[in-house]
Amino acid sequence: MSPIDPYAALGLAGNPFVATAEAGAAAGEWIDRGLALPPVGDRLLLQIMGEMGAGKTTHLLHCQGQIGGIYCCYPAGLGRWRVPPVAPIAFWDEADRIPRSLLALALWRAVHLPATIVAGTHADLSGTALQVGLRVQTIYLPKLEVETLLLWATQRIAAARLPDKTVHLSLTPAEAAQIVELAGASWRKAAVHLHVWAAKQVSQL
Amino acid sequence: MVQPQPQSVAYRQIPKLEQPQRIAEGFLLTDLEQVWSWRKSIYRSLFVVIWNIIAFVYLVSGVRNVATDRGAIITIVISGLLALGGLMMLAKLIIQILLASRFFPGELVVSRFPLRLGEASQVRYRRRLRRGQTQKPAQISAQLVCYEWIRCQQGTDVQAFTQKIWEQALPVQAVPVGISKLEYEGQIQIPRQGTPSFEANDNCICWELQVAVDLPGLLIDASTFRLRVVPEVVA
Amino acid sequence: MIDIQLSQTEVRVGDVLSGRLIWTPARPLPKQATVAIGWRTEGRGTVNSQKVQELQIDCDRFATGITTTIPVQFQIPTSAPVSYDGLLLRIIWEATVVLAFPGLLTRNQQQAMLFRVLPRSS
Repeated sequence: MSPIDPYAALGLAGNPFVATAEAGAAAGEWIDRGLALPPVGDRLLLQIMGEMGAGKTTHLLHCQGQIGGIYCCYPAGLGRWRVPPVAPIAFWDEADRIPRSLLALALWRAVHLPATIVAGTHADLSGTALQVGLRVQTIYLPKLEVETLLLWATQRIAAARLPDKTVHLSLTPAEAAQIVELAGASWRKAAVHLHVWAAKQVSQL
Repeated sequence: MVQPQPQSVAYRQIPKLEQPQRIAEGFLLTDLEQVWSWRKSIYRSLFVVIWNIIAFVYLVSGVRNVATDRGAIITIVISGLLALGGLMMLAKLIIQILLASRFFPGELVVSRFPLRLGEASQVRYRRRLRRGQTQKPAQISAQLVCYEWIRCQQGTDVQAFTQKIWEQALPVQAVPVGISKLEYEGQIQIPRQGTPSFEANDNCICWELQVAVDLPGLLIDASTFRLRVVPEVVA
Repeated sequence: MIDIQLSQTEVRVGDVLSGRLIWTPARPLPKQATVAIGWRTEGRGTVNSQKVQELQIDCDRFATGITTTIPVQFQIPTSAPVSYDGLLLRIIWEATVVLAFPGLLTRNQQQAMLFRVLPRSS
């Protein structure tokens, strides 16, 4: 007879690496990669650049959680035709999708408010920002590293622990290194690989 | 079986699970992706042509202005990438049109549908030439695969992943010269411990028979047929 | 807290799943009580779910301070998905009882019990 929940045999309430509906890191899972919080109202465009899945959205939402401000995300297609919100601190996700004219208008308003705009973007927006008189700071999210992945995976496994149970699942540095190699710079792909890894541990019981 | 790593798929559309047609020989499935549709072809062609026109116009403009405007380098790079993508789409479209002009859609006849766990079934693949006969010997190979497909919205993106969980490779068969219909016969076996088909909006367990035709002078053509496996184990 | 007990932890598609609700209610009594079975996915994909069958429980059967046992039965459809623990996704079946209490600010009480659905034999 199969166990009702095979993950319980490892002391877990399920696979620790299931996808969450909300974007960003869950409480207690934020990995501090040494990036400072942005100043508010500083006539600044702070660009967070990185590949897809590198953690731009997570970083923006973490900052918003710490210091407040408005967050908005730009979808592809017609939905991107709206003026970005400007506030003393505002977070624009997928900012490279903003039409150039609307971007220039919003950045001009940021100069006069004054505001700090934190933009998650795949493209460099500094040209437009400098033209309207904003300072620009660009942060490239660090590549996925073995130590960071190990820390994050350990947090996720601990969060899935059943009450009063010992967890029998741990990621070795060698396994983490393999996953980092497969995932490239994408945390999202790393999470998928970790989910498969955890499922395989269960199936081998 | 050594399990492969999960594959990120570009928002893959899994083949529709069609209801087969009951015929004297069994159950007939058609590869719907290969069914010629004038409307779909016209839309695709228009899209590819417009894409290429825009990309090449910007590329040419960038090249013309690069001596006087250093920013034109960015235009050249971006439009160059778009033009490359456009050429790849155009090549794929031409191949699709060539294949559709040479062949009727691939068909699969299975002796049983839906299938049950632990069940064996004869399968016969056929693909007729629209005219003429094969000029060179060819090969047909097939494999039965079972895979998980998931789709998720994370951050601001929607991504899909697949993970193969089981496969059965069928023997390769030769196709002689001078025939007007490519045919392949084999037997598939659904494992007793296998997983039945499952379909939800963002999560699927799919069974597919993938047939590849290697015709000299033509790129390898593949037909995919989704099979349904019900949650029943044969005695 | 209401308790849901199932007579079996595994059931095959097409078969009947039986169980019982056991509860000693305190004041106030619920205005509505439902018990349902259904499946949900869990894993790297967006969660999909389906409520397969739902039963309304007559709340008049409950009395404050008295332990009440109510038998329940569910038919697992023959076309239902089976329980599955895969690499990217899981299919999890559960029986859930929900008690809705009067009052705008009163929270519902909910209890779930997992079970497994297996393929049937020919």
